[in-house]
Amino acid sequence: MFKKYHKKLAYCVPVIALIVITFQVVMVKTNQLSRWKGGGFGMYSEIHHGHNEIWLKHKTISIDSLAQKNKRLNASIKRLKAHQTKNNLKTTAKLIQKLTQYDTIVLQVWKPKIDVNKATYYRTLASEITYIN
Amino acid sequence: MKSVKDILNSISANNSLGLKLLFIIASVYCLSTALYFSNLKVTFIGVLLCSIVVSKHVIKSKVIWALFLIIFSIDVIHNFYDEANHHFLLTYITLIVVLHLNGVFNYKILIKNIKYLTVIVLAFATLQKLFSEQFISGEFYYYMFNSGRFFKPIVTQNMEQLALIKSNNAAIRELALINPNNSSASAQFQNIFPHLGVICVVFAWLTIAVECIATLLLLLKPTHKLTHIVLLILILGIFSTRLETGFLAILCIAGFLITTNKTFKTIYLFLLLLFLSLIITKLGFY
Repeated sequence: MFKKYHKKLAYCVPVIALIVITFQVVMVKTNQLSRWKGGGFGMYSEIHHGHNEIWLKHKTISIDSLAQKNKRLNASIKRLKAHQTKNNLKTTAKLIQKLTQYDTIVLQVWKPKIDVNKATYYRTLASEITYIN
Repeated sequence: MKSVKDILNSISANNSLGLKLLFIIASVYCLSTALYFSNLKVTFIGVLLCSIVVSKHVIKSKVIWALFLIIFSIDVIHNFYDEANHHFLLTYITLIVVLHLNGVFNYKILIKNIKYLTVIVLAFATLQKLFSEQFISGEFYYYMFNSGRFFKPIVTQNMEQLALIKSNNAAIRELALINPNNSSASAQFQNIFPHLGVICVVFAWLTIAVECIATLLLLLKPTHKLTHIVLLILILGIFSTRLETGFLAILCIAGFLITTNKTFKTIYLFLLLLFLSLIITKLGFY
């Protein structure tokens, strides 16, 4: 079937793996993709993105409880926690705006951090977007 | 009945055993992930079972392996940012088998492909840890230990450590209820071991060292005894830390295919069967 290309195809799979990994590394650096995901073999190199938290600035509403009632929002939040692209932020903000009817929302993703010396677990702001209806 | 010696000889002499094991891994993985694209996977598993009943040559069937590849690829493409890393690895291995069965390369090149793939996986697993500030500072291990995510069967046996783990997780849950914009509060950890901060930094660098040595040995001396001793230490090290049996099963098959030593082949085989049993019984992760 591939006779003409046999020699060229001999090591094509490791090359494909390298291309995917390179793409993942770029995504980690530029688009805040979790090292655990995207086929870059960065599992167990940082705290799992499942521990990232989604909050609204200036609002007390819990996004987690909102997501429990809405499958689409739940899936969107799962995606956003792993990969904070502008598009994922915007899609999630739009869904939250629809459900809450707020005019303007500031959607934020907070990541866990550890202070080993003080033995504390705290959160730092990783990304945010202002969404105006 | 075959003697143990005969069985061991057949393990090292038989090339098709490698393919048979890959076939079992792919089938088990397909079953374990049947929740996603369930209609497609149930149909495929039905076709697979029918083929096993009807034909003697299912393991070397180009069609069945092509179907495995299609199913794994659909998973990867649809859930590119959500699939586990070993799902990518299994898809690559399936592609290697498909190319081999279609005569693109012989068994020797198949083994070389598996070797390069394993080297790439271990190299990038090492590099990603090395470039992660959270990993080299020991923060990641510190969190995993204090929240009871590592050495679970051991640490949960000790009541005192179990109480500390529960208290740490409760502190994290309580903190998660507070909007971080309104408060700079943090969760206070109680270390489950004394000197945990130092232990975690040492453990982090030890992990990087073992992975790095395994990568270099596998690249430069793939059939050397020392290479497989280090790879087995890595496999057993991961296994004792966390039941990542899906990933470990693939590392075992890679070791099994790469080594030419009868004893190592047997060890890899039994570990592989253990990991597959844990996946099937859902005691381990798939």
